[in-house]
Parts: sequence; C-alpha cells; structure tokens
Amino acid sequence: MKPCPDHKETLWLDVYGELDPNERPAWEEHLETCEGCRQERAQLFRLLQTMKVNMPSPELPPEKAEALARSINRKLRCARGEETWWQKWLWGRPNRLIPALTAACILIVALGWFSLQGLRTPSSMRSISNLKSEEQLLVKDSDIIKNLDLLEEMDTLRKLVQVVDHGGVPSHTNHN
Amino acid sequence: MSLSDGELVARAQREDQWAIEEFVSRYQQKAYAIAYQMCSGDSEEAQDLTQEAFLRVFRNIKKFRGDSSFYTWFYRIVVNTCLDGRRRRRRRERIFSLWKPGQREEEESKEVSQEQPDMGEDNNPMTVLSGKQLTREIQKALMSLPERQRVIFQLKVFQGMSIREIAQVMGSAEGTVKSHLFRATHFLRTALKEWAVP
Repeated sequence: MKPCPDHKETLWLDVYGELDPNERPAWEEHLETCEGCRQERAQLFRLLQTMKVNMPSPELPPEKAEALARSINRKLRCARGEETWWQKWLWGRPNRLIPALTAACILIVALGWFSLQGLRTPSSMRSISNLKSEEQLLVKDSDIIKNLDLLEEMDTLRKLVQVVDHGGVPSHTNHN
Repeated sequence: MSLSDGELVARAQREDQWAIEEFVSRYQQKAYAIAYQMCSGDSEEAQDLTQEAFLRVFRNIKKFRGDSSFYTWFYRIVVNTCLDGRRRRRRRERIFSLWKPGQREEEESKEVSQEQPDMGEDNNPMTVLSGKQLTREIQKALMSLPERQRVIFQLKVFQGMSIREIAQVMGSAEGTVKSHLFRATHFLRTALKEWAVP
C-alpha cells in the first residue's frame, strides 16, 4: 500500500519531529484512516532508527582528546608568538608525523651508535696494523741480509786494524 | 565552575587561557563527530579538521558579536572547515589520479568501506555480519548523495539539529534545507528499502 502523495511532506516533517503543532491534529486524523501513510511512517521511523544505531556518533578516546586539546593550545600560543622557533617547528607538524619523526630519530641514533662501535674496534684495521709490523720486521731482516757483505767487509777491516796495531802479525799467528 | 557559552565566549575573546581550554573540552567531541561523519569515517582526517576548525574559531572569536547563537556560529565554522578539507582532498586525489589510474576507484571504495565504531555488545555473528553489511550499505548510499544533501541529512539525523539550526549553519534558507532533506530522504528510502521492512 502506497502513502498519499499529498501528505508526503507532512509525513516526513512528522518523522523528523518538525511538524507544526497546528497541523498535527489533522495529520493524526488522517493517519487513523490511511493505512498506506501509517505503514510508510512506521517504515521510515524504523529506517532512521536503524541508521542511527548502525552509524553511532564516534567519540574521541580520552588520550586522543587530550592530545588534540594540547595541540590546539600549542598552535594558538604559537600564533600569538609565545613560542620559540624550534618549538614552532617541532609542534607545528601534524600529529601523525610525530611517530615518523620519532622513528627517524631512533634510526639515526642507532646508526650512529653502530658506526661508533665499528670505529672503536675496527677488526680490519687491526689486521692491517699487524701486517705492517710483520712487514716492518721483514724490512729490517732484508736490510740485514742486504748489508751482510758490508758487515763481513767491516769484520775484515777490523781484523786488519788489529794486525796493523799489533805490528803486522795477527795475535793468533803469534801463538802459532 | 560551569560557565554559560556566552560567558565562556566573552572570556575567550579576552584570550583567557582557561576559557579557551574549557571551550575546547566542551565542544571537541561534537566537532569531531561532525568532522568524522563528513569525512566518511576517516579518523585521522577528522582529527586534523577538528583542530583546524578550533583554530579558525579562536582566530575569529573576536568577530563574533552575538547576532546568532554561538552554537550555530561554531558549527558553521566546523561544517565549512570540513567542506573545505574535503574539497582540498578531492583536488589532491584528482591530481594524483592523473598518473595513477585506478587509485581513485580504490580510494572511493576505501571511503565507503571505512569501519564504523563498534556498535555494541552483541556478539551474535549473524547480527554482527548483517550489522556490518548494513553499515556499508548506509555509507555507500550516503556517499552517493550530493554533498549538500548528505551534510544536511547527517546534521539532521545524526546530530539532531533542527531545520532552522541547519539553515543557519549552512547559510541557506529553511525551504532550501527542507528540500535537500526531503530529496535525501527519498533517495535513501529507495536505496535502503530492504532495511526498512520489519
């Protein structure tokens, strides 16, 4: 059964609680006799009620409400020029960027710490210095080897000096 | 100490910090609820818009002369902030959709399928399922409405404002509001007819 087209607007105003009190008696009289309007009114009431139940007004959780209030106050103070440039910069970001900025700071600190640790105990550097000392030893050894002839010559010279000093005959030949 | 809106506004006009904080705590849930519904359930965007609306209110509070009720003046700013925010968002999406075809459809379907807050204690899976399905259908139907019709319907049904208040908030004539409301009702009645039958 369909509602009366002439009463559609009255019906809707009634459902929305906006019907003029002067019009109400006549409308209620009509409802008593019109099954279609009665049905439509009941169905529209039900639909609006269902919508209200399924789409409840959302509420900000207390912590978010507090954060929002803080953020508004901060921005107002900032607009009045009561904050320094770094406070403006820090608190001027949208709320959703704060976790991202925090994560970036933690990442920078962590990377810095690891790289510092790496600099303090550089295993590769240690092996390089070891190699160098070994090389230094080898260089010393090679110097000795290279100068071996010279040393032998120096030994011969020393013997010659001894011969000259002791009158032309080496001391061990005197014994013989 | 509970001050009336008028006294609170007078103190906020003198930049009284307490009055400003009291004002925010008194009105933020209402403002957030409107923003949330106008953003089709995007909580982050609703919080940003609520904040922006409060900042606009306090920037302009000295201009408020009390010609209309403060309540309607405040909601007018909230609604206009949300409408501006939605317009900005749509513009952004249009620009991005130029080189990312298909993204817009995804965004639209995301908008429709945004989860609403928990409806209650009922744990019956069938009830929960039908409830979620109904919520989706209602969201989809609401999103199909032209913006003004949608906002007027939301202010009437979900915020319980009178047609006169909505007219003041929207800056329109009462007849225009009525006409938008009736068109929206007619559309939703048809789109959701299965859910109106007992």
